[in-house]
Amino acid sequence: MSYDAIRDALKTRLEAVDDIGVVHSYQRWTAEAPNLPGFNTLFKSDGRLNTWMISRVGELSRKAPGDDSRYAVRHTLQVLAFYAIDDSAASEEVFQDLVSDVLADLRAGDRTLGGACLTHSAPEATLDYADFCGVTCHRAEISLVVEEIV
Amino acid sequence: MPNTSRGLAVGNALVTFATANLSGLGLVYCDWQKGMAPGPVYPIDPVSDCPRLELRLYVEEIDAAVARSTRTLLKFGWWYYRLQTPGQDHQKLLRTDLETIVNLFFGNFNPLQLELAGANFTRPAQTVIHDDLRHEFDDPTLRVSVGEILMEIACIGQA
Repeated sequence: MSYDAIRDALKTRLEAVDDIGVVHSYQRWTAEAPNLPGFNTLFKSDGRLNTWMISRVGELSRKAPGDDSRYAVRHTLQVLAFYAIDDSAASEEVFQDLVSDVLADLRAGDRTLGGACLTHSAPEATLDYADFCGVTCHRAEISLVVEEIV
Repeated sequence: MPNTSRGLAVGNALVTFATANLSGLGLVYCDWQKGMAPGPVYPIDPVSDCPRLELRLYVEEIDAAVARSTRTLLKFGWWYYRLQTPGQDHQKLLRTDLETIVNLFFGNFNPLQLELAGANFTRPAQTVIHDDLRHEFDDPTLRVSVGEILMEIACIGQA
């Protein structure tokens, strides 16, 4: 097990959620203007900016009691989501539902992420608004601590 | 001089006897407790580390010579860890496994290994059902049932 396996497993897990949009296993950025082909490929799904990105913001190791050869390693993961605001389409409601679906899946689904880790914490989320590459978006930040044994 | 290594010898014999006779429990570890923790310790990877049986020697009490013999009283604890499967009746399952261990040592008890190690008399002292151990994230699939069997063994040897 390793962080890259955990990251890839979480990406696969997120991609299985309906209407999730474009999921990346690391934080993406582009200098290309919105609506240009490169931007659209990176961040758009069904014509709307809807992208999810996984990153790691911390790692903590703890030695196994009575066993100096093993450690419990905890990765603090951050999932950032951006969803273009469209008032006429009630995008706020759509995005809130999407975040709820992701959180529900992380709470109730396989906590080993397909065997990539021992377990993970219950997810925590904050939601607000942000400008992403010049596009005003709904923004969610989901925190998750994933533990593996090495 | 009293035999001060009796606790170690009897403990090793207990481990050997348990390892040979408790295969039905599917133990992944049956040996001395590696540390000397005051209470049950959550296994770092309960999926791989359970079920496990750990021996702890608490007391080795050596009496002065009586009738030209030395009496040593040994107090051991067997700590048994069992990974829970959500939805099962964990207390009953733990109790069943503990009974298997108790019956091994106190049923038809005549283990040659213990006799060779100098044990003359063995009796169960107590069986304790501890609170279950939980992972910090409280993943229901990683809860561990813990029980402890306390036993006393008397050894009488020549002074």
